[in-house]
Amino acid sequence: MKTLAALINTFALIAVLALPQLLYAVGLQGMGSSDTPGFAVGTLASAGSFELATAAGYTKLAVLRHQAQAALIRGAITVKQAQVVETATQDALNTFDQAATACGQDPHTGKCTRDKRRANDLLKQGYALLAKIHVGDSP
Amino acid sequence: MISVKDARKKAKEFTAKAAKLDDSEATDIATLTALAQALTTGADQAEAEGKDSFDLYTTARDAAVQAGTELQATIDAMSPSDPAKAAGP
Repeated sequence: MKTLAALINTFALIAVLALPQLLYAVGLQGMGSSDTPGFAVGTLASAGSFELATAAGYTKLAVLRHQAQAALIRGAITVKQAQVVETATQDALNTFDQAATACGQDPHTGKCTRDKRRANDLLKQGYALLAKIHVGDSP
Repeated sequence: MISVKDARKKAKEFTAKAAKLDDSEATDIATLTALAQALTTGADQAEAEGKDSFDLYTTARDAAVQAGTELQATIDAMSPSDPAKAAGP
């Protein structure tokens, strides 16, 4: 009986610990998901320098934030959904920052001087985070 | 840093790419258009200052941070009041 109670408590603890992550996922899913093939890493990020690829990521991030702000003002999304976009885009921004740090781009040659592979991995992660965010237009 | 020459070339490329996208990809169209605009503006400013390159990275990052500040300000303004404050002392 004690074992069963301990097992139930363990499940309850796991559920509580996982709840914020689940809510976060639901929040993103609730606004839809888009893989945005036209903006895939393979077509844009690889088309230019690392600086251009990172700048493209920051720009898409800014566009999503503007879209969320506009949608919130016209009542198309809730404050909670807008906050989810803000949090998710901040995660992406931090990832792009980490990519830039990992790259350590030479300002003259434009080439990464540190860890190019890790920089590219982080860049892809940042794009993947952005691809999960879609600010719906329907009220 | 990106050279003025590369910036103009990429601006044209992104503008053309945006024109080819489907209307349903509004976010990507807006992104490519904004990026093309940033490249053109940066190139124009660099040329006006007699430079042959400019810092696109910082410009793009600053714009993203500014957009976050504006979004958060709107969220704060539209959030329900703190119940404790609304209830008064």
